[in-house]
Amino acid sequence: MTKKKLSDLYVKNGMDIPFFIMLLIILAIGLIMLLSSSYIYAFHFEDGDSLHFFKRQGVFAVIGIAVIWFGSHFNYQYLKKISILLWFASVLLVGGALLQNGDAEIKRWLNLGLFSFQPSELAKCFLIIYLAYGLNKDRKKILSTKPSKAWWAAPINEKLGGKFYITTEFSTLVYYGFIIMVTTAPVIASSHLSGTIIMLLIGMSMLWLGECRARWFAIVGVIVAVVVVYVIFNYEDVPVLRDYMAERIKAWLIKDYEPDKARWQINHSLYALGSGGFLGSGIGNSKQKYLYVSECHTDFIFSIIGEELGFVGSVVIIALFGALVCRGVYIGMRSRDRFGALLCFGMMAHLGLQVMFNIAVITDTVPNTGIPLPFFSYGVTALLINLAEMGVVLSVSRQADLKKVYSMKKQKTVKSAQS
Amino acid sequence: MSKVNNRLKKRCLALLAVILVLGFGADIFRLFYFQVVKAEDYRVEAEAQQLSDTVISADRGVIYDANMNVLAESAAAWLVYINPSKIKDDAQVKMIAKGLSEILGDVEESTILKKMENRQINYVKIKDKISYNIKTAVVEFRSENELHEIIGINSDTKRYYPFGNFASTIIGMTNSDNNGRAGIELKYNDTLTGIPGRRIVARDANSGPMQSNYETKHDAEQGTSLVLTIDKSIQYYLEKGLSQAVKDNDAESAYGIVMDVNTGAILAMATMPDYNLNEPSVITDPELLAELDKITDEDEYDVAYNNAVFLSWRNKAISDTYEPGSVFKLFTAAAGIEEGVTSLDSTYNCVGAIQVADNRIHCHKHEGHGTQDLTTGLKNSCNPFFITIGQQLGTEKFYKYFEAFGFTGRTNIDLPAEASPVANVTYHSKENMGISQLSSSAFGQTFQVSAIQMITGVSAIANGGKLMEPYVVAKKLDQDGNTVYEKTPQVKRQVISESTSKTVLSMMEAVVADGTGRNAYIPGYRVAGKTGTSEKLTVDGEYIASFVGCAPADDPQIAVLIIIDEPQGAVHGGGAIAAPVAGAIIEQTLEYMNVEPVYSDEELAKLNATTPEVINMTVGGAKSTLKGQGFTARVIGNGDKVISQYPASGQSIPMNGVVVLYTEQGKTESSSSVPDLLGLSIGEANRRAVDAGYNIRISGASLDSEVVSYRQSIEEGTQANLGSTITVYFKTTSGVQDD
Repeated sequence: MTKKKLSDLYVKNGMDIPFFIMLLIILAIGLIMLLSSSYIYAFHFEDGDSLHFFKRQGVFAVIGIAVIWFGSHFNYQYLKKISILLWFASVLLVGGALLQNGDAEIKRWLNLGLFSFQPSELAKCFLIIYLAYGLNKDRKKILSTKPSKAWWAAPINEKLGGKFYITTEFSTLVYYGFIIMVTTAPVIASSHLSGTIIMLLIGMSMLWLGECRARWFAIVGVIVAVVVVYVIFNYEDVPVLRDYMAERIKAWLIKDYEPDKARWQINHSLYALGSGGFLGSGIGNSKQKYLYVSECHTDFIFSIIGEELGFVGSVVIIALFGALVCRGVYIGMRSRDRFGALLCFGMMAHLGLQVMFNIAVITDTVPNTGIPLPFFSYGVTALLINLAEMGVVLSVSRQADLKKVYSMKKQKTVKSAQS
Repeated sequence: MSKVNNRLKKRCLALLAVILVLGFGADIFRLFYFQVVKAEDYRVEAEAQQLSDTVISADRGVIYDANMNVLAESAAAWLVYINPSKIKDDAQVKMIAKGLSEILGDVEESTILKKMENRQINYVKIKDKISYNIKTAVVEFRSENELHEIIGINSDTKRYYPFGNFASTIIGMTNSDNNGRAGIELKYNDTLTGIPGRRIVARDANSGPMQSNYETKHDAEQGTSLVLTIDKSIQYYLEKGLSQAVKDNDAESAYGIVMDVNTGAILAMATMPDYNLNEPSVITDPELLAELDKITDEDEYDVAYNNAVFLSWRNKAISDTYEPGSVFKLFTAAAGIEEGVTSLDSTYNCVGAIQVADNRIHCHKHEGHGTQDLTTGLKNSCNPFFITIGQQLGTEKFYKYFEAFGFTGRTNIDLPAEASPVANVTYHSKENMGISQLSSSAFGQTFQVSAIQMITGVSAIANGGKLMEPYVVAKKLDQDGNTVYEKTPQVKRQVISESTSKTVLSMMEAVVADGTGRNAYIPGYRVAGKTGTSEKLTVDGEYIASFVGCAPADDPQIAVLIIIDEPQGAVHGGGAIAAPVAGAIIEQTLEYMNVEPVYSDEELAKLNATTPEVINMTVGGAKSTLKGQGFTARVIGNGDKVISQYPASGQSIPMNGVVVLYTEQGKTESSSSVPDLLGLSIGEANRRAVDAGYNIRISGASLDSEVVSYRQSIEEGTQANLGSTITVYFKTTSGVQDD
């Protein structure tokens, strides 16, 4: 078996075709549904240009696909070297957005002159890469129960005198927990609740994949559960919750709560789903997109999908996402190294969580919070970052030990190697 | 060989399971819940918001008279509404209120302002039933000020009564919601009301249009139309007679009914004064208005005005009750004859009063009528005679007929607000009918009946004893004009035998021939009738004069009841004031119904007349001479004097015949084309001939039955001198199937 040297920057091996095709299918459906759901809104609010959102998203989708196709040839091993820099840069950007929007209620957008984007999206991606790198590198520490030699833990251990001590495993967990908190802090500060939750869940997933001891998850799980229950029952008195967050929780809990149309969006989402029924009203036939579901081409696009494609179409799209996630996980499983696996698993966890929460929101399962649906919702930065994450998985796939039939180029090389 | 360790794989699979199974699973479960389980509920909610559902009002059915003349129909009208949610600012509100108020006229600016206060709603009606012109003005106003999103116009319907006051108390009218409020409109409201249509249009969240293919329209279905038994011509005769009677006698009101005695069909029914169906809440009677104007207090005025309006809608012919007085003697006589306690040969000696229990009841002729037979008794309307018959019958039998003739219950005519008889209030129950009550009831006093009860009872006497159920609606037609219901006359019961019926009729005929009812006598027609005058129980010193008649007496077709309420003249008797009204109506009606007059020799002598000499008279003088003798003049030429006449003087031509007057030298003959005179009744043939300038001679027929012309001496289209006599031959049509 010929193995590419880790140091090769450019990898000629073929990528995983099933993953790529599924991605293209999802992207194509996403664009079609974006067109269907956005043209009414665009007609009304973009000077009659019904195709406004579709054109922009379409152009970036094509560019994005091209970029990740080329980009995935670059050896992902090099990400290790720059992961800390990328992460640090993204934290600075999130912080920058926070400072730039000093007085605004919601401070998640960063205006870079030419375009504005949500740096928290980028931070999620780079957090995954950095954690994959770190947790891979520190695997031994994570498994070690010996006294920690960390700079902050060693003196404490000395003082405790050996009978009780902070383990290496714990100090490493604390370090990565700290990394996650540092990444999340500016997101929390920018009042981005959904971003915060997703980011924390991604961090937790990475720690879990990094083989941190299960008991910590049990403890954290219990704490989270208690906090969630507490918040649900006392949302009006929790000081850290912003007014609008409390309002949304209230609107979620009280189904006929209707001041200032607090439930307008979610109710219209449910009306859309109900109108679609089992088989849907057909592509383009949504009535709820006629300004009932506001800006239905963004976070609430799935309600229009539900109306036009029905329960059947909804399940098919969820299944496509599920298949893509599974394929990504499979690539990770067959990855040539543990770093690649962690990258794939992390990216797939992000994708899965995002889809899961988006649909949970539009079905009124969780309080309304703005989570876009990857590859469907309008938003070019989010689209590009989502594609970049897929590009990382594709990059891993180029060096993974996948079934040959799916990868023509690799098959050749392997054959020649065997002969 | 993969470098990925198993523990990582397991952890990954666990995470994958959580996300895919729990996360995606929960999502699919929720989607299933909303898209399948609860889909219908949410779809309905969605549609409630998306669809603007406009009701298209259905036209009410048409109301026709017996000859398909339209009496009431729905006409297109419009409705103006406002969508306050589209209002931009207060200036716009003021402008709209001012503009619309000016255009609509009777809607106050403040009212419109108030309606626009709630800016959340998107529909508030400003005015309905507006005319085409006003609608056009609103559309113009809307365009000028670009208010398309705010002011809307929907189609509406308006009830229209082509003849205004005509038959108002029968037809009734509708309220602003197109629901019947009185008369046929009320009684048959459900039948007349159509099924409203709907126009469903999908609208976006801003009430803007979605796409045209989301529009569904269900057409409104017109209500069932009604064909009444009312005949426009007969109704007209009745109304004319009644309004003249009100005027002549300065009466409070007059009302009457014309009924087909054989079926119970109401041919005409009217109450005077009446009201305009198109403006039911406006009082037009100047006298009444003058009286109302005396009220200075505004509130009091409004109350009085409204009461007067409400009163004007009253169909007194079925809602009011009155003491029938002498007219009721017909029923006492019928009962007595039927039960054999009296007969045409019975005699009674009236001494001017009769002792009943402790009371002495006077006859209206205080010196007494002397010895008289039954017919004479009826002609004289002798009270003691009929008290005696009542006493001879006894309570049991008298009450039996009282009940059988329908005086204890409603007639169930298909009109609203029929007076309900109440035992011991409006009439004496059998149990409480002692000798005094029996005696007074026998000559029509101390109880009340409604006009419809009375005429139904009289019809039973006239038609051979069958009590019919009176009705106004003959047929129901669906929107395509197909008959969906046809009334079959209902016989309630046989009250008296046919022979009794004939006997009473003959007595009634005598009443008209030379009794109290002689004012209703019409040459050529045999009219039977009875007069009645009674003091009003409710108002001191006021009377009710009535006359009931039926004709022709030998084969009654119609019954006419005329009631004059509170006549103020010196004469207030039924025979004096009600009988002539009834007589005129009977004559016109029978003529209209083509019941040929049958003249006695004496009458015939009156029918033909000898032409006078008018030559050398001035045209005006000749005309008035001819007119005075019942002839029609036809002047040829432009001269001042009559040079010659045709027919010449001393000729016998039919009454109303034509005499041609020539006024210019050298132009002493004028010819024209002879009209078609075939297939006509005598009256029609005569009228047509005279209209064309010819006289006819009647030939060939036994004139005592229905006859039709079948030959004329000068054929149609032939040129003949004006004034020529055409002999027209008639033959009977009885026993011949026609129509």
